[in-house]
Formats: sequence, structure tokens, C-alpha cells
Amino acid sequence: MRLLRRIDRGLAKAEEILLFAMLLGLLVLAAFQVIWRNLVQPMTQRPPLLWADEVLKHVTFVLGILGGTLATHYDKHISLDVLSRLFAQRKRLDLGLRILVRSVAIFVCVLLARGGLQQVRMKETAFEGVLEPWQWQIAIPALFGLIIVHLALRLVYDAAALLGAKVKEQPKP
Amino acid sequence: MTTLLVAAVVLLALLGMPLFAAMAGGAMVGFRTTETPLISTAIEIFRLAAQPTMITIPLFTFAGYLMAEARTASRIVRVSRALLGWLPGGLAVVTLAACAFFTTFTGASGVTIIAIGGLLYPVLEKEGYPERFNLGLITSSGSIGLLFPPSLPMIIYGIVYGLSQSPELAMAGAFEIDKFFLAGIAPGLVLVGTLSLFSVMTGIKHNVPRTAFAWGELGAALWEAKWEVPIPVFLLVMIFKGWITVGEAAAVTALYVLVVECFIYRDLKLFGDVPRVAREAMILVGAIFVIICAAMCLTAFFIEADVPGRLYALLDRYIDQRWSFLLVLNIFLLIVGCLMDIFSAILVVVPLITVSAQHFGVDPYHLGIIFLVNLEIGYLTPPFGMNLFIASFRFQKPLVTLVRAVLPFMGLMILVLVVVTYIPWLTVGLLAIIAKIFLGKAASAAP
Repeated sequence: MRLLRRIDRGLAKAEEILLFAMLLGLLVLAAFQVIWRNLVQPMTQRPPLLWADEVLKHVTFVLGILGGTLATHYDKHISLDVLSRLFAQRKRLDLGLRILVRSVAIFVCVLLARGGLQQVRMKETAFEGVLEPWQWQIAIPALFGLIIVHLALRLVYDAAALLGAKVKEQPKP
Repeated sequence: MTTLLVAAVVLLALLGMPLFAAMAGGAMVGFRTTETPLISTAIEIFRLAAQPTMITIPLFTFAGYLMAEARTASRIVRVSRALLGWLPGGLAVVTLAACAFFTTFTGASGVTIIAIGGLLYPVLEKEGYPERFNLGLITSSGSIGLLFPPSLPMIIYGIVYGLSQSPELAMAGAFEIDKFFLAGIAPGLVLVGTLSLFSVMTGIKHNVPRTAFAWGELGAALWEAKWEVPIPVFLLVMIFKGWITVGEAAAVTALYVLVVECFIYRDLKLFGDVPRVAREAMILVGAIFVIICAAMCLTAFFIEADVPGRLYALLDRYIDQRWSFLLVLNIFLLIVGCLMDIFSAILVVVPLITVSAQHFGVDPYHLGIIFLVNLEIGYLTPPFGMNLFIASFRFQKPLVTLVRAVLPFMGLMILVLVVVTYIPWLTVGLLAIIAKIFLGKAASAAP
């Protein structure tokens, strides 16, 4: 269990660093484009970076799903929990239900990742751009794969708790 | 079999399965019936990478979180107090104004109740406002700025509406988020104004002492908050003068707020605080983003199976007037609002109702505003309104106390909802006027 915890924390740390770097990159590049387009271009007639708009859109896409993997790590996904709230006091039942919903969520993510993989295999290409569309599309199976790993780890913790093992509380972001 | 699978997905969603998984699961069940290949889910999700407005979600959220972590709340409260504190019930009006400002950036994610509520609740109590009023005021103010730009729910509504437009709707023109920003201003002011009036009356009734108006204090407060107070105004002007797009505005705002909070006010440390704030903001962004991904799949299925068209056919059998459609819509949205959070509600419901709303002649911008006002009320509606739980946790009060406290505020908000719903001019008419002023030419409100 300790090893799993270490892997879990390490994975989340790596995701956090990547997210922060991507966010800063996005911010700097987007701001650079605005400043260039509105202040420098009218004076010099030189256009802003042509590849930047494509990169900004795709990095936003990757950043968004990567944030989703971190939301899975911290158990911060938006959910309805209308019924689960009723069972929150009954620890064993609550754990059992959590195992059930996580298992189904893993199954759904496996299908999403598989769909993504099929799309990548089609190797869609474009006439121009920094990367080919299929190279950006790798983000879908890769990041939903990461969500599966986080969900599976949470599932193991819940199962261990159900079997009576002492499991640490999920860290807060 | 399909019905059974759909029922299982709904049950799992109610049992707390992440909503993105429930929605994607629902879409997959749907695709199974239409024999659509699995790859369609990825194709739909990847369509998001082509949306230029998506960049606004991480950047505005980041800016909002930076302001929430810095001492922006105290500075905004000081300005509002210096400006409005002399009114009867002044501090309560200050609470409304400060919360409205703050929610525009934090998107009613509960941060407003924690940040501003925590700051003002003890002061309201000290000044002699009744406890029940204070709790109701802060709980209902937690989502009050949603109609003002650049609120995140408005952006998401715009994106989802744009993506779920039927071909005939899209032919009529694109839904523009910048116009939607303008459309929210008048209804938002009516909402804040109505609750302010109630606060003034409460102040008079309970003889709450007023603070004298002082030009010196107002000047000092404005000077202290000079880097933050003008942000929404600058944003609006720059967008509507056509100097920058909404996406560019998000980049400029995020960079500006980062520089202001780290290097001018020095409330946050670039390497000590900013990575933590960025992580918290990106977790929210991620949670919303994966739901948008799933909603793309679900919407594609809805369109493929003509679910919105069938829903309209069903409604058309029982409803033939626009006013009755709006009544049914409001009741439906109030129920949705108390069961779902605002982002999920937008993502699930908007694609379903666009076709019906169009057939009943409801303007898309008017529909959006009705939608958001309903969901604002939904935040307060027992038994599952999110603000009730956040305030209960923050102020350590039983849920029942909070439910009683928000009732008068809810009543007033429903009154405003009726006004906004049945006087479309408030949204659409004023939108045309404001757009004309900003753009310098006659602008049609409808897309």
C-alpha cells in the first residue's frame, strides 16, 4: 500500500508540475500574441506568430483534460451525490457504493481511451500546423489512461478500507 | 435493455459517480442503440480543440483564484463600504456589491461565500443585523454575480449553445459570447438592486447604525484598490470596442492579475503561492473540462437521435403559447438547479432545450439569462442547493437554519426571475441599445 501511495503522489506531483508549466506557457504565449497583434503589428506590419493560435487551442485542450486527471487524484470531480449523501454515515455501505461507481467510471474511461486510440490509429493529417492532428489526438487516450490509473488507485484504497485496512485520508489540494 | 442501461447510468450518477463518467456512459449507451462506432466519442471530444473560446476557461479561472487568494476581497469590501456604507442597510448592500464583483471572476464556485462571507459575516453581526438575515444574505450572495461579465457560467453557456446549435439555427448566425455578456448586465443589476432594496428596508427596520460618507475614505479606498476595481470595465470596453477578442481578454486579465497580485500588492509569492493557486484553479478547470468532453459526446447522440426535436414534439402537444413554455421551462430549471451544479446543468440541459426554445420564439440570449437566473436560485433551493451546504459548513449552522434564512431572498429572486422571463426587453431590448452604443451602429440582438 505504501508503494501505491508513493506512486500515486509521484504521479500527481508530475501532473501538477506539467500543468503549472503549461498554464504559464499558455499565459505568456497568449499575452504575447495579443500585445504583438495590437501594439507591434500596426507599427511594423509584421504578423504575430502564425503557429501560436493552433498551439494555444490544442494546449488548452490538453491542459483541460490534464486538470481532469488531477481532479481524479484529489477526488474533486463534480458529481450529484444526491443518494450517496444519505449513506455517508454508514461507512461500509458508503465504501461499497464508492467501489461500484469507481468501477463503472473506470469502464467508461477505458471505452473513451479506446475510442481515442482508434482515432489516433487513423493518423489524420493536415496541410499545415506545428503537429499533425493525430499527434495532438494522442492526448485523449493518454490522459484518459491517466484518469483510469487514478481511479484504479482510489478503488484499491476503498477496497482496502472495506477489508479493514487503515487507509489515510485523501490529501486536500 | 437500453432503458435498463440508461436507468443504471442515472442511478449511478445519483450515487455519486463522477458526472463526466455518467454523461459519457449515457452517450455510449445511446451510441450503442444507433450503432455508432466508439471512435465517434473521440472525434466529438477532439472538436473542443478547435474552439478558440475554450482558452477563456483556464485563464479567467486562474485570474479569479489569484484574486480570491490575495487580499482583493478586503480591498473590494473597503471600496464598497466607502461608497455605499452611508445608506440605510449599507453594509448589507456592500455585501451584495462585493459578492457580485467577486462572483464574476470566481464563477460561484463557493469561493465567494468563503472569502467575502467569512470577512463580512462577523461585521454584519456586530453592527446589529439579525442573524437570520445575515445568513440568508451571504448564502444568496454567493452566486449573485453570475450575470455579469466575465462570469464562467456565461462563457460555458455560450460555448455549449454554439456547439449544440441545429444547422438551421447556426444558419441564422453564431451565438456571440461578447453579446451575451452585454445581455446579462441589465437583469443582473435588477437582481442586485432588488436584494439591495430588501437590505435597505431591513436596515431601516432594525435601526442599524450607518457610517457617515467620507470623501477622504472613498478616495483612499479607491486608491488602494485602483489596480483591481476597473478590471471588469476595462474588459468590457476592450472587448466591445473590438480591440481584443474574449480569448485575448482572458490572457490579458490573467497576466495582469498575476503581475498586480505578485509584484504590485505583493499579496502572493510567485514561487511560494502561485503554483498552489494554479493547481487549485486547474483542478476546477479539469473537473469542468472533462464534463464538457462528455457533454460533447452526449450532445452528439442527442442530435443524432433527434432528442431535442422529439422533446419539442412532446411539448408542442401540451403547450402552444410562449408564456406557458417559459413557465414550464422555469419550473424544470429550478428543479435542475437544486439537483445539479451550474456547470453540469448547462452542459446537460442546454443541448436539450435549444430546439424547443427556438420553436417557441425565445431569443437565445434571453434564454441564456433565464437559464442562469434559474440556476442562481437553484444554488439556494433545498434540499440540495450547493450554497446551503457551503454556508452551513463555513458558519457552522444547521442546514434547516440556513433554509429558513434564504427563503425571503429566494422569494425575491423568483420575483426577479418572473420579471426577466416575461419582460424580454430587459435582456434583448437593452442588449440592442447597449450594443449600438458600444459598437456605434445598429446591432441586432438576435444572432
